[in-house]
Amino acid sequence: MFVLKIFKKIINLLQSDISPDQIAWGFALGAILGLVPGIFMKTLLFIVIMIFRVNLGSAFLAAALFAIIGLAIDPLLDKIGYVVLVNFDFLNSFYTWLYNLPVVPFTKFNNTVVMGSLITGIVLMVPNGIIAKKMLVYYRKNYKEKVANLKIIKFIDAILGITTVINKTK
Amino acid sequence: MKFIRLNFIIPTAIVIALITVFNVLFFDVLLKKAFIATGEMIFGAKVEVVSLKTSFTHLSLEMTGLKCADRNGYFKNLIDIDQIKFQAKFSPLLRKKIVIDEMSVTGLKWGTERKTSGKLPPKKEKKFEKKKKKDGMFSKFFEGAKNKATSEFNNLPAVDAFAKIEAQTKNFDVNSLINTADLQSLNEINKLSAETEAKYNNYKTKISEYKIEDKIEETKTLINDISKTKSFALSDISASAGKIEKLKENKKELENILKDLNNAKKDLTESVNFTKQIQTMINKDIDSLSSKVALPGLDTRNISRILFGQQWINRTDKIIYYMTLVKKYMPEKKAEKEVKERQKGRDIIFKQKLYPDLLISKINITGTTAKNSKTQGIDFSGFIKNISSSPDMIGSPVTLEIKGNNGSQSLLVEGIFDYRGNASDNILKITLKGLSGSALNIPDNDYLPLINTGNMNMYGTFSLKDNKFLCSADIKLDNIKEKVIPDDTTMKYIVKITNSIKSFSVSAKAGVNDKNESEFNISSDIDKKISEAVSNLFASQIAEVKEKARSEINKMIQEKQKQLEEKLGADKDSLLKAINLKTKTISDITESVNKSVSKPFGKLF
Repeated sequence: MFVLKIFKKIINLLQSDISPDQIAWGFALGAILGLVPGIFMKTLLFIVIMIFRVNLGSAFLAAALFAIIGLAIDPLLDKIGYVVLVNFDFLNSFYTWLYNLPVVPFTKFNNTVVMGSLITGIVLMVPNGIIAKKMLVYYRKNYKEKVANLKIIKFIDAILGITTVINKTK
Repeated sequence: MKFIRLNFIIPTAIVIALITVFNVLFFDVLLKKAFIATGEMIFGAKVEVVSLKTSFTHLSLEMTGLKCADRNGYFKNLIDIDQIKFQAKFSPLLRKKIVIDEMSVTGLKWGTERKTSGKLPPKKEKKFEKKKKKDGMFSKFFEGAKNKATSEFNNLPAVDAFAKIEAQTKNFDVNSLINTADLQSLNEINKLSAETEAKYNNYKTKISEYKIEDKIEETKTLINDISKTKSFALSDISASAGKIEKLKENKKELENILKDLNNAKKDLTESVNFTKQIQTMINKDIDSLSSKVALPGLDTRNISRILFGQQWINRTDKIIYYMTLVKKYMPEKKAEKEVKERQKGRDIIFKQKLYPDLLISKINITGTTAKNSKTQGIDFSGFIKNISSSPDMIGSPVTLEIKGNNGSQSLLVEGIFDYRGNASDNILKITLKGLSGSALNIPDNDYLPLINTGNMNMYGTFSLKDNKFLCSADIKLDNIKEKVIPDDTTMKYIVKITNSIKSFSVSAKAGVNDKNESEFNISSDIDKKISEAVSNLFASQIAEVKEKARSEINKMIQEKQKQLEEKLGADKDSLLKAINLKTKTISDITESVNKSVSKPFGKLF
């Protein structure tokens, strides 16, 4: 049932009239949220997502998706972070400055995986946003009507409707 | 406002405000609970705090009435602090660092009495024991020294020896020790008496055997016969020659008897003086009696170990425990650009320009040393400097200096806890002057001087370098007051011994050496002093005994001697008289013989 609900929400998101920009930005920021480990950094990103009027559904969908991807590519993120933190000597003074700034050390930016994820997330933010927007526009233009009329969609709607009625009568 | 989600910001602001209010109202309570729980886990006994107040606006903390019970005596407080106050710097807090420029600890006391037991509830106690087992590195080493010393204490003979002294002095009675049958002087008198009597009898027999009167009579007859001879007839001449020859023989015999009598006279005159011989025997009797009252050998070498051993172990145990705590809560070493493997990623450490994670630049301390009915406390003040999570960063070790003075009493504690570099080196020096001997916590004992009344000076050093530790202390105690000498003879001698000790010193060492072997050593001159006092006291006691014995023996002997001298004197006198008479007669007759022989007729022969 849970999977059906999630699936229906994704379909609703795609079928809705919500601005593609909002969905695209939500997806891009959500991707970073999913990739970056650490409570403090996640909290910061969550606050950013909540403050800006981006689509929360797409943001959390991207967060879930990229959290799984992040787990799989942790060794790669670790290597990227190590290179960024250690190999670029010219950045050392910048990191030292950051390290000695108020609050910043709480982000654990000096951790290789955190830095690797953050860099990867930021680098992927614009492509993610553009791709998400283009795909959504293309979908709405070509598939929105067809998907709405799919029997499977109507069937899912019916199941979810019956479940709601049963739950209410309980 | 098009891009901002107000319906998130407003509720979030409300929630944050509520959390802040909660913290303002309940943070102190929660912090107090956390503090107490941590303290109880560290010290293994109850920790109490009267009040704890924090201020977010001043970033300050004020704690009052902190009492930490002593695990080794639940009705005493290990630490009792009236107030702890400090203020953290704001900007370092934003850098995840706690920096305190000055902290004040006022009214620090220890060993104060508790009204309630400081024992932890069973559940917490179990938890503490479990934790203690995990980090008992030093206790393992020290346990060895402790066991070794304890087993030695249990085998010491000194207490037995004291008991023997007590028994010996209790049974001390001169008259009961004198047994007339065993007195050599008395036996000697009897022996001398018998010998002399036998000698006199021998002389008497000899004199009678000489038949002096017969010889004299015969000689006289011969002299008369010779003097009557007037004719020169051959027959007369031949008879006179034979008589003269016989006379000469008699003269020779009489001269020999005279010689013997003179020898006997000389012998009798010289041998009558028994006093010298008897006196020698009396001296032997006195020595023999003295040996009966001699004391058993007292092994005083280990008295200091009995007295101070357990105290020393307990104190060292405490200090090692607290120094281990210091070591335990000191931070782990971190390289300047260390790469630390982690489950998820690695932390790259950059140079910290400003502060370590924790820095307390200075803690001002004021307080009073342990005070009780016997000891007066010393008010002290001092500081601890440079408490830091990264000693290498601040470049200074933790230093401690506490000074106190209370008239004649003074206290100085100096410490360096150096965790810079890869090794650790901790040194704590304690100097105490003019303290009461009661600070040694040695209970009053009949067999000891009044240590509690003495004046104590102590110098102690405690070092902990990596896993090796060494504790040493030199204690000097003087002005020990005297005990009142009891009437009870049993204790009189013991009190006299203890009273003769006015001062003594103790040196103690304990630790683990480079070979990881435990060391334990205590030495004191109290052993020697007690030993000397014992021998001095009993030397005078034995002299007293000797004198008593001498007078008792003299009394007995003199009477016997008088009787003997009277009896033998009379015998001697009569014997001498007889000898004198005999010698005179013999002398006269030999004179007559000479005259008779020297006449013209006699010359013919």
